[in-house]
Amino acid sequence: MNKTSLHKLLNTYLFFLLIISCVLALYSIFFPNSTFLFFQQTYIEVLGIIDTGGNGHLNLLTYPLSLYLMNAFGCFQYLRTQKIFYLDLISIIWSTVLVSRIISILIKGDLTIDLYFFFGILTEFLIAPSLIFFRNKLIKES
Amino acid sequence: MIPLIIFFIGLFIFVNFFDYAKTFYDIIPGEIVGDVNFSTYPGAVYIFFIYLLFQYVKTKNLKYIDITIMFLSCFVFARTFSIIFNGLSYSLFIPIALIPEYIGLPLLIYIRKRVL
Repeated sequence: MNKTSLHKLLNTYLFFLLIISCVLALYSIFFPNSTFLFFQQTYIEVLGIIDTGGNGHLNLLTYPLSLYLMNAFGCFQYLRTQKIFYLDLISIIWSTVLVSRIISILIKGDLTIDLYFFFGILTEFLIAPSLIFFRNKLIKES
Repeated sequence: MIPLIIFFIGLFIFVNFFDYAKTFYDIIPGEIVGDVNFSTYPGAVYIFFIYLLFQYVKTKNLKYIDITIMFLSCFVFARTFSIIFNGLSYSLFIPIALIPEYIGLPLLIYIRKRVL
């Protein structure tokens, strides 16, 4: 793969990640109780978490939203500046999400194969390694 | 930085291993993926901070502090958004988590400027 096509592929990939993050952020803030994309469940039902009053609704929104925002910011900044710093940032975010996911699966166990597994969990296992692959390729090329 | 790393490790252990975490965060995991998601999202945030602070201590590279500031800004932004949309009620969560979040960001920016 030559340098130009690598850049094009990475930019397209990050643009796609940016769109996904923005959609997730919009759903989590404005439409948590509307049908979430093609899931036939609401965003909250897809997450499978219920708040019990108090400040539960704050935590339900804050933790995922901060990750969506940070990812959107990193993708946007990389596409704008093409600086490897932002690719580092996105790679670190997705790697930490992956590590946290693996730890929580190991601790809590009991994973069901459903739509969320394919679109939520499996993609997390693919994104971090692919970003690290792109990052290493770019560093090698430059 | 070392006390902060220990603090985030403590939070990570708390959210993953203590049942009281559900009361503290006022959240009940539903069936299927609820339990896994309940610990994944806060856990990812805590691991992110642990990694960045640890790397800063190890390398003294300010890049890690910059990323921490960016992420903390996103976090505070998300928190503010959720307060605006959902309101706020007093619980133990406010003095332990909410206030340090709002103090942490300007403090970190101040330290970053002092280091420069």
